[in-house]
Amino acid sequence: MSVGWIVLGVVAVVVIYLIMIYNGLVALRNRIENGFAQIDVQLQRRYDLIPNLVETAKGYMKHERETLEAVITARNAAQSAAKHAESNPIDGAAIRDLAGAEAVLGSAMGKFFALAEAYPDLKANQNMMQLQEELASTENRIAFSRQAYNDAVMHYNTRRESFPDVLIANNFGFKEAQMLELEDEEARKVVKVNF
Amino acid sequence: MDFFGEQDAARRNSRWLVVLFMLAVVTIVVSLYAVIIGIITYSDTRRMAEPAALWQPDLFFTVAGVVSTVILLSSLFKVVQLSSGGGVKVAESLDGRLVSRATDDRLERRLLNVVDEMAIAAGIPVPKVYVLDHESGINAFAAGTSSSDAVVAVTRGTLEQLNRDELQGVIGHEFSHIFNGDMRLNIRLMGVLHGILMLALIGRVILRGGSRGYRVRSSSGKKGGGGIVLFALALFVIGYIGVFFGRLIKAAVSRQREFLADASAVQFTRNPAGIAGALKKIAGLDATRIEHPDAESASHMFFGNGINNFLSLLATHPPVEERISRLDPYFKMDIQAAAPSPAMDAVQNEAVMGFSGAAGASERVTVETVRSSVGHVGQQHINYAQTLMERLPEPIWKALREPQGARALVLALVLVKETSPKNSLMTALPQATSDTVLKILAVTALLKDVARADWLPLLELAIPALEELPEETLAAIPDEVDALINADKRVTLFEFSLATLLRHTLNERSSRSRQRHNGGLKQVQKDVGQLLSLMVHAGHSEASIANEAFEQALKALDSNGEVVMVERSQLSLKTIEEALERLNRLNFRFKGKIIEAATTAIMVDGEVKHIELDFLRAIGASLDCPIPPLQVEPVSS
Repeated sequence: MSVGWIVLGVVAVVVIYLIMIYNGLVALRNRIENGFAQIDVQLQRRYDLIPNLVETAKGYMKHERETLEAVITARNAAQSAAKHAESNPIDGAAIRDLAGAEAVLGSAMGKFFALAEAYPDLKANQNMMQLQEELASTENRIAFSRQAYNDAVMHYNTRRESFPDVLIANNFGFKEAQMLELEDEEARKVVKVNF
Repeated sequence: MDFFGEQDAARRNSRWLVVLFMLAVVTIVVSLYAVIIGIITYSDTRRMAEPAALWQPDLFFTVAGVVSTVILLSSLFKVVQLSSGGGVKVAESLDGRLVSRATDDRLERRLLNVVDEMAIAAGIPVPKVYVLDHESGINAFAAGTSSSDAVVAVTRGTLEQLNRDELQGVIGHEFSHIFNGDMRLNIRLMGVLHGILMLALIGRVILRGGSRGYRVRSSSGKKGGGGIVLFALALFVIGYIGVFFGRLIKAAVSRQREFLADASAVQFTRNPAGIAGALKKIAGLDATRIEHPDAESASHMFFGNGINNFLSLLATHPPVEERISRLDPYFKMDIQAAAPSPAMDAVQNEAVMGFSGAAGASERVTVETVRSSVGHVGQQHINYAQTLMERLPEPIWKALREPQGARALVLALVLVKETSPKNSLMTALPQATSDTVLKILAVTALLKDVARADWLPLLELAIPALEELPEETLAAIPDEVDALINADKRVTLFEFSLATLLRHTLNERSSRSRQRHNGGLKQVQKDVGQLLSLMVHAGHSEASIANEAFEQALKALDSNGEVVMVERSQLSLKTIEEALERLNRLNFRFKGKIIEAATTAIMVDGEVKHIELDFLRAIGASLDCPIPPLQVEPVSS
């Protein structure tokens, strides 16, 4: 009688433990998915900010039409590349296109900020200062969302491969997650934002 | 900083502390039970002859049940009370003002952005943000029991005095508290503490009422009240002792969670300088005090110690200095070199930032700093590299940029101390073209103007350009260096260090496959002895000091084996080279010990010679524990 109870108790504890492992893995996996969605959101946020920035700068940088136009063109190209990549997330070529477009946008923005240095009035403009802060923040967010994604992947993979979680992971289809790596050297360059 | 490792350690420590906390509760139950058994034994006059049985399951479980129920109910009450209204209530009770999402204020805008960024980095929902307008100190807190009702609040001083990176560090720290559920843990601990306190209070109430009642009843002649009074007294005493230890444990848990939060802030921002900068500002300004009278109840959630707590054991936050030195291993040197006063530290930081043209503040090398600098590149080293570049003569700079120039420079480093560099060059490299020879000799002459301390760092600056050379030419360089070194039939320690460093840096990049040596120091004690002997002889010409240095080094080594000092005449660089090779297979822990011992040997006479530092760096490199150039003002030998 009492032996039966003990066995029952042990079994219950084991089952509860396994359920906890399962739920832990699910939570980690969801964190990864959320991390991936964030990257996209932040890229979009940047595309939305750039036209405002150019609009503000237009009044001051009358002789820099070309640069301003280059920024807008690059922004539009990057946005459409992002849309394309979003609808084909597994497509390596789409991701590469996006990285390329992002690189072009990055260098156009770099040129823009270098030129903006020569316009003290523009730099002192309240609106411009705020937009620069927003843009700097967005760059950070993009970086942080990549990093958060990779950290989440690392934690998930570590858990997934360690004992006893590996038993659950293998039997319930917890697949290994991939880290995000930038394929294009150019894409590693971030727009430099000066204050 | 290995932030994942630090996080694991802090989590582990706080887990143990929580177990300890639970044990404290169990101890309370057991001691109350013991007291009851004692009372039964001594109050029951009929059974005076035979003491009550020690183990009475029914009684034990009754005591355990009653005590746990009391603790559980009152802690539940406390937890509900503390967590009702979530973080918003806490922030508002401290006169916090909710920052509107549409704010136009530049600083508030920045704060909101930083909070959003950290929410992304931590992967949790964006909390509400509050500003404490009336607090001018630098501080911040997170409140709320879950990530969905959490708030983050910062003082006005934080907004105004920290730069963006530092603000990010502070917010990252608070996000770790949210992310790791520290507020929830803390509220639970507070609840259990309250439960234990309730036991003590019940004891006190019975004691008061009981003693009054006892007097009344004793006049009526009834017995049995004495047992109850004794029991109440025990409840009172045990309860308060429990509360005392509970507080200590809770404070210790809280300090571990602070370390965890600092490490997580680095994980979120990947920028230890940000949060370290904020802590340094706090250390310099000593402005973490929160003036609000209600601050104490929320003290655990603050970024810095919100209230002054003289008993450091009860402090909810670790000392700022310790937190900074975990983030920035060089911090200690700063205080030692400048002055204990934080204000001086700030001044020195200003100097480091660049407007003084001096070579940077000199640091005192200590065993600790060398050990912690292994594999770390800090701001000092970057500054050192920058000033080094400025100090170098233009032609040397040019030579460093192109492969053949870099090669000439490396060879010149061997020649610079020779009396007749030309002869050595001719003997060692007979096949060299006259063009090459001239180039090398020119660089050698230039090197005489370069400070002795910068010679070895020059070698490292040359490596990138060297690697652009064709494979065969590059592979031949270590041999060329060896030939030059042997040209005068004499190997100096500097030459040895140079060759070791060069060989190691070049080899390391091409291939690295090595079997591990799993033993301890005991198996390699002969090698260790030779290495330390050379170190000792190199730095100290007097035998007595050399012996003393060796003794000290052995102490630092802390090995129970027999490490023997070798006479100078019996040492050859060939054996040292082999020794280093064997030592490199050791476990990293033992390598650290060896470097520590070698550093101790240098320090004994209180002066550091160039050659000692160079040799130390050569040892570091060949043990795969690179030591960045240490900025010292050595006594030249």
